[in-house]
Amino acid sequence: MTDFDPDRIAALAAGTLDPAEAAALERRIAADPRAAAELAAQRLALQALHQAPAPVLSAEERSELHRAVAAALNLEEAAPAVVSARRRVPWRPIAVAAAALAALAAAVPLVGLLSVGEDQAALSTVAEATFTARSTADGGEDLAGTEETVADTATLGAQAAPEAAGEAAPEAEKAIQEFLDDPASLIAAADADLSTCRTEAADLLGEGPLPPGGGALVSRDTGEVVVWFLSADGASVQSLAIFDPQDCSLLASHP
Amino acid sequence: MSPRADSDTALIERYLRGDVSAFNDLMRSHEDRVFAICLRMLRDREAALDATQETFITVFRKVDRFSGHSAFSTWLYRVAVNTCYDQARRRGRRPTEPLPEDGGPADEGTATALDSAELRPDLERALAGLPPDFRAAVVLCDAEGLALQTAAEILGVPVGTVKSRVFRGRRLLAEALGNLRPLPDPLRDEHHD
Repeated sequence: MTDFDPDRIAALAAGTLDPAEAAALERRIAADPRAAAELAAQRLALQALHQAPAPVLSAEERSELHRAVAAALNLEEAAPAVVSARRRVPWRPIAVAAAALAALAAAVPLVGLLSVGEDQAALSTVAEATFTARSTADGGEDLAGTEETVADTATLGAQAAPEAAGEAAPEAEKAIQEFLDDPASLIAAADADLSTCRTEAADLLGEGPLPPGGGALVSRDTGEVVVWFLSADGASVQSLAIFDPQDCSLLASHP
Repeated sequence: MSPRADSDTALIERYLRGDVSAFNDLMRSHEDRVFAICLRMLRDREAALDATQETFITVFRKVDRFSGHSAFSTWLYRVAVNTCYDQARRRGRRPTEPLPEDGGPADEGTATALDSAELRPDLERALAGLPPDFRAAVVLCDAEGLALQTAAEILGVPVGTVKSRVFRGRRLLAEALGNLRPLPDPLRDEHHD
């Protein structure tokens, strides 16, 4: 079995090898009981997965999904009216709560959101409420749709301005400054295998492989962020970008 | 770029210009697949519906930040997978419960929580027994038919890691489905590109 590359056995099972290569490999595998058992297992699993019917939404589920998402986005008029006994999101209570949080957020300095405690859902909600209150004219309904989503996201992305790095929220700027002030810890945290948001980072920081520099998944009090950076001398950081690992949206960058 | 990706990009542009019909078109194009991924990850229809809804809300709220470096669908599925992980964490449990100790084939006539998934019960049970990372790789590559590279982008890991997870995941599935004797693992550690 040690002579057989698992990737090739997997490819053979999946039918992605060219016919001649597949035939030759299959003959060799047939003479090795362990490899043959491995191939059989791969094929059995694939067959089961391929034969399984794809899950589909029912008509009611589909309509309700459209309605709920449209409502959260303030697009209710776009969705067909649906009568359903099941409500996925209690929008109105959330709207009231979010409006209250938005009022609270107006009195809470944003600086420090990056370094406060573990109650990510609450913090993110406050932060998003603040951002949304600033960026939309529609308060309650929009905030209602925001609350649950942002509470789940629980990353710096909830607080960042979406437009560009230069307009990053103060808390994200604070994170940038911390990384610039203490580049050694960031450089030490670099993970050579990290690929999350690499494409986005390469586009922002420069084409091609990122070294000198690298990327790191960094835990902040408000959640994990992905930081990609350039370091010409291995000791200081010249430029860096912070991304939300969930969707690789840019949170902040320097310069 | 594929015709699908081109179409998605055009729909996003229309949506950002305020064309509400583009929202419905984008939803219709992707909702079944997002739901399928969520259902196979979470194994509970209600939870999958919640995760699907949450995924689309997240994506549409941030769609103005979609850079277009990768396909919209890749970004969408990445959010879906992460939403499933988050939802499972919030509920204080893993996406699915582990296989029972005896690991025997499911009794299709038994009404259990598995039935809520409305898929082949023995396959669902076998999928549920996979470690979450393996399950995500198998679901994306083998159930949804996505390319290894695409799955790697979605999961944020190297292609080699996806290959390893798919290989091991299939073997564990086969062992659960066919009551095969566990095979020695030729991959001691996940390999990377």
